[in-house]
Amino acid sequence: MNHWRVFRVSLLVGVRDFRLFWNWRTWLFGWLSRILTSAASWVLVGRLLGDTARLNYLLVGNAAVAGVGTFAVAVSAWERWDGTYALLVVAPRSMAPAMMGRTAVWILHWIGSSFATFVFLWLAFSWHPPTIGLLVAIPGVTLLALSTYALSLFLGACIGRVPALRNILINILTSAILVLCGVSVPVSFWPRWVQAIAAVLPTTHALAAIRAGFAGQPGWVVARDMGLEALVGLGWLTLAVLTIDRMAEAGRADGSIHFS
Amino acid sequence: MITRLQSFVFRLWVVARMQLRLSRRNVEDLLPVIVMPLLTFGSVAIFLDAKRVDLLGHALTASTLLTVGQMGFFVGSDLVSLERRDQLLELMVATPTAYGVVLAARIFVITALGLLGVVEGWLIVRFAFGVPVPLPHAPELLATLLATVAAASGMATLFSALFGLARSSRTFQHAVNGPFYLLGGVLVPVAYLPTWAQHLSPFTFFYWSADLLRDCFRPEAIHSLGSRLAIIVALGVSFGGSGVLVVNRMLHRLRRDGALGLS
Repeated sequence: MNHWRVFRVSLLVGVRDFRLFWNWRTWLFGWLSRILTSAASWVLVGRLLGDTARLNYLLVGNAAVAGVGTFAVAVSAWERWDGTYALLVVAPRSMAPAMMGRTAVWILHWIGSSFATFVFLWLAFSWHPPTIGLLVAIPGVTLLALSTYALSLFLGACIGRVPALRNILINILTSAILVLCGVSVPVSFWPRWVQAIAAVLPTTHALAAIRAGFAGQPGWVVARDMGLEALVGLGWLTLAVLTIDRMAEAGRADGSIHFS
Repeated sequence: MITRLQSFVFRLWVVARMQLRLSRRNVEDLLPVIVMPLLTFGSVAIFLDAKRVDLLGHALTASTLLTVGQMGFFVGSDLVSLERRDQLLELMVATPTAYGVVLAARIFVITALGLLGVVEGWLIVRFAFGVPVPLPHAPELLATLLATVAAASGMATLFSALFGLARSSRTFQHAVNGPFYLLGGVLVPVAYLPTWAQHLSPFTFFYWSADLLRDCFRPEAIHSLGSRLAIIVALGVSFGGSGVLVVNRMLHRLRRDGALGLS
């Protein structure tokens, strides 16, 4: 089986995972209700501050990352509990395409959540952002979902050694993205060393590109920020691919695969 | 009579101690305590960036209520579902103590652990942002926190009963907790909500707790403290009492029909 075929079959497994987790009813009334409530909260915070510019800043940032989570980290741990991790380890190919395929379905979940939030803010709160900004938001949100996925994949590989910590890691990472990457306050609000961390986290540059689109800045500014986000995503993806097999090998070497 | 009361209190104490031990060993139980205060960074950053130091009490109120609320809604209300999954519910039901009472006591302990969120939120504002946060009404703050824990436990007991036995708790948790926080004015006072929504707010204990907590962070005197505390506790007792009744009645029916392990 070539890598692409492994990825495709694993993606189908991921789709089944997703369907076990959510059906259209629970997704609409459970998940969407949660993130739309969150969007409404940011509208209220903007009103509390009494500043339209800040309200718009909060809405763009929070709508763009509305769905972003790092759920792929947890999915990687599921392989352990399903008993399939050891089977993947003994297979003659790299584990990377299998892990990437099973977790990739969550990218669509994040993108769908973000777009639903933009539509909700437009319909429910009469928010009328510039069309060019919305057009930039489509590739921007897709790119930030892809780069966040790459980081999740890397962390999923690492957490394979201590699966019990997966939910804590997911939440800390999601909080870090929400707080540090320019979602609610500009990255420049934070000290320089925090800004350096934000620069290598996914979301920061894609969000800057989206904001540049909303502000009507020149196309090259948008393209530069998108390019930086793509670089960050590729960096994390490379690390992930290098780490997945190494972690599995380490687990095989010390016999911990079945016990962690 | 005294012996029966003593025996009841002793059983509650044993249950509470057991839950404390279980939670200490299970990092998942403490997830909201670890994670929710991190949101303080976000809200405090927004207020400081907007030069609104006067709103820091709002951020601390939100951090506190979200942590206590999540401990109740996510961890506490999951107890029945988890016991069904692990097939422990049948054993628990077979013991002579009413399961509803055991459940309520365990949820109270879990929710009370959420109080650590207050300390964490305060430490974040004080040391990560370097902003002093005076506590001008410390005794009133403590009373409000205890009443809030009682109310959150009552609510979580009812949710646990209603949705744990229906095996759909996770979806429900996702769907209801956000609207509850929003309607309760946890981060932003309900005066900023549409008028129709403001009419619903007083039915949530968050509304009363959030208002009182924000007052506790302000230097001005707090008005009607006793009656506001009484409303929070009354809401908690009515929700918790309903939860105990519902769980006992549903279990009774399942046992009578021989369907406890099958439903």
